[in-house]
Amino acid sequence: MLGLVLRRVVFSLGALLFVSFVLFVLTAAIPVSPARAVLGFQATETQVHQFDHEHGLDRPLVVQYGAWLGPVLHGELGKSLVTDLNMNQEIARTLPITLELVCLAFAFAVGISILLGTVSALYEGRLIDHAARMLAVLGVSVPGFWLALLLILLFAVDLPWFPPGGIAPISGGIAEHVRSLVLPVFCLAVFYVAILSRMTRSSLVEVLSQDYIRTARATGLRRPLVLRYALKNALVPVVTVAAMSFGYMFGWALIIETVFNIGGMSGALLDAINQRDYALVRAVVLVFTMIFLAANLLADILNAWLDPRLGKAPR
Amino acid sequence: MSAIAAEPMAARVSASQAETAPVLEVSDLRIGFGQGPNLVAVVRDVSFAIMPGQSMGLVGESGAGKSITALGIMRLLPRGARQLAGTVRLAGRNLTAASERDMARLRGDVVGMIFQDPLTSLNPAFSVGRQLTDAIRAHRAVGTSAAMGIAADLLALVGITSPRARLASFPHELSGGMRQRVAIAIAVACEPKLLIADEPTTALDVTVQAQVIELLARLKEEINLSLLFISHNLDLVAEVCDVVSVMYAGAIVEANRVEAIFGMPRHPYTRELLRCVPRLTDGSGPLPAIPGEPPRMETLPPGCAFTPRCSQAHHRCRLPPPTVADADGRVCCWLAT
Amino acid sequence: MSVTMGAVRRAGRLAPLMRRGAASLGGPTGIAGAVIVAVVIILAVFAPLVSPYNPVTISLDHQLTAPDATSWFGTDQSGRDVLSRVIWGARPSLEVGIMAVLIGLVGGVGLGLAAGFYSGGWFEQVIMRCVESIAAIPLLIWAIAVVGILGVEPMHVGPFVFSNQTKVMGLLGLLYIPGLARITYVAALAESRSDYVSARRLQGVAEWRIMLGDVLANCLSPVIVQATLLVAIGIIIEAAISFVGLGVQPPQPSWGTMLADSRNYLFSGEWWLSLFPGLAISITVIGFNLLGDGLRDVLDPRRNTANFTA
Repeated sequence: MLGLVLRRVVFSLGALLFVSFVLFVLTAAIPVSPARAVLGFQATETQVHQFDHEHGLDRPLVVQYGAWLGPVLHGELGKSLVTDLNMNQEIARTLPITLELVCLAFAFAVGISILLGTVSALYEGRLIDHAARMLAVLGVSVPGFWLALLLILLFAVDLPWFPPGGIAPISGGIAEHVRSLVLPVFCLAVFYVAILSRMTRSSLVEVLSQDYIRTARATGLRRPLVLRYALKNALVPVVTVAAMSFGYMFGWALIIETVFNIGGMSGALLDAINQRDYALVRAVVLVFTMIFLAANLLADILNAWLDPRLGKAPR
Repeated sequence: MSAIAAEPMAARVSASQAETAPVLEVSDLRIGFGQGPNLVAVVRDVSFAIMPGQSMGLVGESGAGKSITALGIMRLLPRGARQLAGTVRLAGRNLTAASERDMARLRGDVVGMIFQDPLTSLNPAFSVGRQLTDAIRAHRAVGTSAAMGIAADLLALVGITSPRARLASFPHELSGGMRQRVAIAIAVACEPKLLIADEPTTALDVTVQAQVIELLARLKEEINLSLLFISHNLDLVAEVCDVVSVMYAGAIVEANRVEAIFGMPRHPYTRELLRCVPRLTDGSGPLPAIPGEPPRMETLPPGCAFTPRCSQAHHRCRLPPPTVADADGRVCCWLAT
Repeated sequence: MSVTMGAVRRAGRLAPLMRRGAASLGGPTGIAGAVIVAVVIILAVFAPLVSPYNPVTISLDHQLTAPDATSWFGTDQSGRDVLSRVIWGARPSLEVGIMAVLIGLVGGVGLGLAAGFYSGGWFEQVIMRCVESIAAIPLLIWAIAVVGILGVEPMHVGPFVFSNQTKVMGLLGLLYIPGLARITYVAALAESRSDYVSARRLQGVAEWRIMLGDVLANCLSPVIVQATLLVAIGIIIEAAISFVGLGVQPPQPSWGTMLADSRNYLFSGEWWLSLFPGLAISITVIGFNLLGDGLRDVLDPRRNTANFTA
């Protein structure tokens, strides 16, 4: 098991390195230098060249990469050329907001999915199963950001229950803070509730038809215990997908944050793109990728831990 | 400290002598699949009884309805199957009328069951110890550590070495024979009166088979366990069982003491079955087989179901044959009249 | 009399054919999905004929009118008819959705097939490592970042000009490759070990012919299911990218940009600007998802496909 974990960690780090290099190449190969963004489009060629030289932008690509990579490995993401802000600070300011949104949505999605999926499996073929299936198709097909627009229309304009945008800070009171999070969390989670609940359902249905569940019943175990047995077996594939979903959620959080005007990392990324602040784009994408790789790593570890057959050597 | 308390053998014997009521009594059991015009009966009016301490073999071809009968007794029928008629009495209790809660109380406590494939019958995600202790604590009010002790004793009882260490093992870490022993331990954890064994050795190597059979025989002695032994392997049945019921196309065609069945089979099907068992003393000729195809339950002929393959079929076989009973057994055939 | 009998007989011959067609789509779900997809595709292809007005004509007299008899879906802030824009907006969504999947199929199936068939060598390792590396990339974030970095103007590479839509298409296609490659790889690995492949080898059939003929055919079932579902998610992703302004550029109508524009009018009550484009996205995606579900029941009942990639 330890061997598996180590291998995955090494692979993740390698992937991160590879990804960072690709990022660097992309941003450095852009014909339009950040100089233009800073100095304005009226700047002369000489001024642009001087800017480039000052910031080492005319050195060979590999050298630039090395110079960038060094501090990054120490956790220093450097300074933005355009806004002159320290990027570590920028990310430290915006990341917690996004993290809170995604973690809440994830917890909500997993909880509701297991509930919904279990009920669907236990009442397989009945009305509630079919209803859940139709809701799942809707959940997977209706774009979260459109749902957000509709909900804003409904709640902000007609029924003033939830604020239409922004996150009320905790300093303003927990209740207000939570209320402002309800709509964004819901819109972000819907897609994943649909997917995870269907996975739970099909996995549980398959497990319930297995011989070992029949043995459990033949031993006289009561229904709640049999269900607990079945869930442990059934949730193995679901947990893996859920952990991966955590990573993917950050992508969709970006869109949701835009709709609700939440000042999280997505806003930072989009602003950086608009301002051609490629250094910040690099930094933000790197952080996102790190989180994503960590989520996948966690998924692999959880998978190995939950299914004893995987982590151990075959007999 | 074992749940299999070693009561003096004498006390057990006299107790069983006092119980002349059968441990299991199946009367006219009828089980079918499907609905309405698609209804197919796969177990047709099956009746038998098992006395305390007795072991009964249920033999027949694959698809004869043996496993379904066992599942029907346990009320663990697969989806789509249901009991159509008949009653099942377990230690005097009417199972047919029992609620699911009552059944859960009886399963494991009064009747246990082991299945054919020990790899799929044990939960791969839980340790052996966990599955055993859950089985024990389902019916006995003991704490976890006490249950672990009992579990270790159970593993020792079924012949597993270093039982304490084995408690932490997972099913996939054990060999096939050990897994089946664990399954047996789980099934007898609460000293049931009856153990149903559905082809318990079919998925095992021949050498391991012998060990499992020997274990079952030993359990029969040590805890006075009644046994319903389902198999298509007649040699094993001859070793383990006191009485035998022969099943064909969902119905019992002959039932008798094991010596009578093997020594003096009366039903043509039983005779064919015995003829087909290869013997070392046979010459090197072609393997004998019963002519014809196994019956399709949807299209059984009227009268005796064995007619198409019976070498002694005659015109009377078009009508359902009567059951002719005598001192030890019964046979369901026109030839016996 | 004979005419009706002829019609009845023809209808009788038609019925089993329809039933087999219906069965191959996996029952009512698949059929419903296929119908929706067909309708959307027809609308997109025949947009110039079906759309009541020109989608880009600005008409300042009719700004922000609510749905009525002349303009079923209302008009937007430049007086453009929303229904026409919705119909025309199907084009970029379908183009990106379908083309991206095709790119992913060519790359993914090709790589996965080769890696699975020629397994046990360095080729397999290299391919699958690369594939796994790309799979380690969060799709949406990278799509946005790369498009953002490359800029939204048309890209000039040599003699070719790539519109922003093409960029998104290509990027998505690239990012689809790992998922499809993995499915194909697993299937090809299993198929290549089966007895019929050995039998074909013994017959003296060339390796590449076995790979492309027999093994490929048997890998396609889960791939087709996944491809259909990828179209569905691709449409949502394209809409999301356009929503943040990095996709289809104005004045070309796109469902995503229409939704982005509608944000400015949420509080002033012009609900039709948000409702209809989003409804179009949802219905189209539902169609592809139902079709995919139906195909899955027919082609891949054991669920050999991955579930989703975003």
